[in-house]
Amino acid sequence: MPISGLLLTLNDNTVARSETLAALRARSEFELGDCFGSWLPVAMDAPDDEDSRQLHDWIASLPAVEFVDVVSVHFDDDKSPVTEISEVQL
Amino acid sequence: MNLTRRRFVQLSALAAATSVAKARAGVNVLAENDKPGAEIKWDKAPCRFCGTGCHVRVGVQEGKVVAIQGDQLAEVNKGLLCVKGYHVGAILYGKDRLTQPLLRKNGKLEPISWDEAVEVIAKRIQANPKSFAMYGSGQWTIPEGYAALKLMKAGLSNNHIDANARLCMSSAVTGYLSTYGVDEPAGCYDDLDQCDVLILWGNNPAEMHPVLFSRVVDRRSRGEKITLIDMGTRRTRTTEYADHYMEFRPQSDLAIANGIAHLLIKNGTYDKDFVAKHCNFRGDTDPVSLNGQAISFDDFKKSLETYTPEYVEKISGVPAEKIRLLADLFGDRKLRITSLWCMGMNQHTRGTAINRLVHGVHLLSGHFGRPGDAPTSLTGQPSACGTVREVGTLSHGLPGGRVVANAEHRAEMEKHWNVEAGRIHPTPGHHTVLMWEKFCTPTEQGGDIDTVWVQVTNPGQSLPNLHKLFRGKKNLENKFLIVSDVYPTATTELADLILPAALWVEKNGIYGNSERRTQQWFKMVNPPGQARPDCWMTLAVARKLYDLGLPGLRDKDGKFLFRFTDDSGKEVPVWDFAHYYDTNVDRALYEDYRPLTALKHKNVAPYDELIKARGLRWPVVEQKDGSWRETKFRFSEFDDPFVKKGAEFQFYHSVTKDDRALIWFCPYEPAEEEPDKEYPFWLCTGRVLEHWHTGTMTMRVPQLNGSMPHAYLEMNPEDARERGFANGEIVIVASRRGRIKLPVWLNGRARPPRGTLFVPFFDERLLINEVTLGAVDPHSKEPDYKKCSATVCKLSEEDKLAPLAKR
Amino acid sequence: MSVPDFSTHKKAIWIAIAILLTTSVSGFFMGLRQTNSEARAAAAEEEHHDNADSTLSHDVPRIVDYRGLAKTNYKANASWENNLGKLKQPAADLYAEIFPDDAARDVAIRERATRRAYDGAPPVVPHPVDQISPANCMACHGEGAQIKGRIASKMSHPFMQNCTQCHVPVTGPEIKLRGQAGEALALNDFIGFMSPGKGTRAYEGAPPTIPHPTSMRSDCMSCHGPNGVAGLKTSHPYRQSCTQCHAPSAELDQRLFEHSVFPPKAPEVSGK
Repeated sequence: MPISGLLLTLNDNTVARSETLAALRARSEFELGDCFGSWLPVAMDAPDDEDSRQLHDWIASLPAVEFVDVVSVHFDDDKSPVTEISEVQL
Repeated sequence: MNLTRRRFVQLSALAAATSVAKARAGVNVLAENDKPGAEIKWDKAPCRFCGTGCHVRVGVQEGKVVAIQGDQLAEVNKGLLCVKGYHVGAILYGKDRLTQPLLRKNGKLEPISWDEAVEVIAKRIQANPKSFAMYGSGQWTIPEGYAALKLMKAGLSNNHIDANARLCMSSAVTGYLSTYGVDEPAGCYDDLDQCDVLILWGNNPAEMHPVLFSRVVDRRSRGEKITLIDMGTRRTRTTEYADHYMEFRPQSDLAIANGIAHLLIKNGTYDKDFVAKHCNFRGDTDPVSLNGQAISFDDFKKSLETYTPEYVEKISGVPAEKIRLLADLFGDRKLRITSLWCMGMNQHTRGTAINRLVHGVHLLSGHFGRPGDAPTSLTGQPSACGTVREVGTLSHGLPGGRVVANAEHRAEMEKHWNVEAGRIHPTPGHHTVLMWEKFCTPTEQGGDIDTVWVQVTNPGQSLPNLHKLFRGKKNLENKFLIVSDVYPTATTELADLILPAALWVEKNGIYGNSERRTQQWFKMVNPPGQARPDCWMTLAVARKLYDLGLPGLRDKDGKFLFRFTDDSGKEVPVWDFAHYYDTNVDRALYEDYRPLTALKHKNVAPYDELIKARGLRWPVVEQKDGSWRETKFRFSEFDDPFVKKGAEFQFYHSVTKDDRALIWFCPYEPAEEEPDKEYPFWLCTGRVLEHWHTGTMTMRVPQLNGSMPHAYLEMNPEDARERGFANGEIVIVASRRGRIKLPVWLNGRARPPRGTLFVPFFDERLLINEVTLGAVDPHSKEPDYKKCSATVCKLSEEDKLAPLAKR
Repeated sequence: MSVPDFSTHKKAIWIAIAILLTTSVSGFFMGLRQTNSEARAAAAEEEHHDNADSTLSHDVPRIVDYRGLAKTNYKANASWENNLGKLKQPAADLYAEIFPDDAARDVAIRERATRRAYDGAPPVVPHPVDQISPANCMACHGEGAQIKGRIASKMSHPFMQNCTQCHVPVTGPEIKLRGQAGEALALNDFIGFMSPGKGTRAYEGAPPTIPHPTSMRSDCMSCHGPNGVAGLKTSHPYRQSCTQCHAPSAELDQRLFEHSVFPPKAPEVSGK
């Protein structure tokens, strides 16, 4: 049951942005943060690894999304709760 | 609220992603502030930066400055600001604010308490009060400057107090003094709304005084005609708006001014009536002196004979017909002509002389004293006028235009401060350049300054010839440098004791701008950490000296020199910071100082009037109905209450004691250092729009830093081509005194003619003042930053440069 | 065999030298004059040719290296076009239907915020500018322009002459001092007050008030007009008198003159 923090780089087409935001808001797996410039932080709660991958691809296919960075992934199984922070160039 | 574990993980993931988004966007926070505007509390303050003196409205929300507006009620800026002013709120919030006192122990800066810091300073002073010096600036508030001056001149009988304004406008002061017998402009910014012709003498207000510049050029949008004449040594943004551009060879502005006077007399177009009634003529003595000697009109005329337009063209490079054009404009009494100048004329080894000449051209042609007819010098600092010139925080000065060399003035001040006669030392102290030279010279070799306390300025970057005048301190064990500042600077780098200071609206303050306008503001937010106002630091050290028993800190009656009382008359121990704000220290110091301004008819307004106003221009005189009236045009009967009825004009502090101003003759002379074979370029330094002074504040504002992130070398593309420099290439700029490496910027902000270089001085990593000269004007002791000879070469050619002169 | 005419040869040589010199000198200066934008444009074009799938090249930012990608906030010329035929903007349709959309407004306001230190600060310029002359600003911002989705807002204070007095380019000069960029110095905790978004309505259906100061923003159409940003556009651009129905704020517009006289008392914030 991975929970990931994603950073979406959006293009500046406002129409595409509205569509993208609406699409993301419509799905319960996502929680959207506040957009800073071109960057939108998103928390993604996926049922399993495979879904996680598919959702990632789906996000990347949204009209305003130019890039998806994975900031953190939490593998939420009861035995070993590990949070990994990937090295993202700040 | 109880969070489930899962929810917690979701939120952490979102928070992590959000922090990365913020970092990438380079914006601090946008979302957390979605609150209606009404919750912001607005208050007025003058802008922290230049001498224009714009008023801003400061928006404070939850103890932080969150927004800035141009104040529409302010006459100076009428709601407009420049890019620095709009971002002035951010200067408080740079990441590396100094927040605790730091003492250098074994070469390392270590945090200490304020009590310790104050004691270190006091003991240092007590050990040798005569070798202590204070170095402040035109960014001192009036109360800060007044307290420092009183501590030095009355408390320590020590005149070694000077301010960085020495480096930027002291030649304007000597120009006013030797022309009118009293400092500061007769006109004001209202002249800019009225003038038909605006002449800029080596000035680039489009970048340096943008609000004043807009005040003039925006008149064109209303269909008004203004003839803008830009005299300069390089084409700048200002030139883009000019009707006439006159490019002169550095130093030759004196020849141009003399050329105009020559033609006014030759053509008979000077204002005979004005000159006969209100002027005397003056020439230099040998050796030169501030007040010179009387000369006749015929002497004056004769001295000018050689300055024909053709001769002036030969010296200056300005075509003879342009000199004639200027003379024709000045010869037309129907036109209103305003001259503006700033560092171009002041930072000049002939600074006093060129200031006198420009006043002279206006007086000779009668372009004086009517709205729109004025010679006006601008200042670069918010209170160069208010604090340095009016309070007199200079080695020779006393408050209200008094000087230490004058026995009467000393006696008045001793009486006012209730100290015994003879307390104030009659000999002027060291002026800025000399003070730092002495500080950087070993004591046994005559370096008689051991300790310098720097407040609100950055000499480690702004002094000329830094290797000699600042870095020299480095290897001298017994020299001690104390620096009060808000951020680490080139000066704190060598400091032995660093004191964190409160900045701008983190304290109460009063400034005085270029047009004689005194401006007050209240503290609006708390300073960070342990930062405290400079005024408190001065008072705390004074009190510590009193406690240590230094006799000078007592007045005639044995009481502490600085007494503050509450409404009931009980003394408030303001030196204890817990009680500093129990009374309004600013009001008390200012009201103590205010009566002193009457001597030279510079009557400043009462503190309570300042609270209500967006600044008031002195002399401010009480009216029969109890209201207070400011003065826009000094020496003019129609506006100045001190002018005799029927006199039309009266120079009531005239050098010659006959109510007349002086028209000087001063010859053109070559610069101290002119280009030669080895150093074939003129090097000029200055500012840029985005940065103010040494960039300590503006470099920390992302919007300003982003637009102008580092210094550069500006040169003519032809010169660059000859040397094989590409745009952006790092090259070496060298003089006899120092060399630095920096990138070439071709066709950038300005267009310098061949044989000239320009480097802005705001960048602490690229210190052009290691290269500049440091030669000073003989009267004002102001250094020339605008002219020295230099050379440029590729990095690979450094070994071909002549060795540096011995330091 | 005749002797070659030396003078003709000499002439030819001189012409050749002249051509060579002209080319090299002008080439040199072209090199000197190349600005960031030109360099970027050139790079964009190059990539365009390299890329077989030209549809991709339009929306994907063209950045050379990955590290640079994360940092870039500037894509002004990403869709660089030099075909003038494609740049024509259609005349604004004042009667086109506009549906106010909270999400789009939200995006627009946040987008605006990235170029301002706080609401009311002069926006920074998201493209390089002519460093010495402001005349070029007016070419696009004088009347406003919309070119292929990029909007150059109409200047809302046309009486102002000195554009760069308040608006500075976010990118700085085209020369860069490598390894010594001053960004570290510019770390700043200033948190600007941001636009509250919507104005208030007295009741459902009442015209909203103006939620921002109107100083320097006297031309409502520069943001709210048909060439404005999606999300901020008015649904009724054909109406001419905006303030007939939409009230500005006296507080934000500094028209509360009784507040201009500050009460003669010590400030409330204490220094302790």
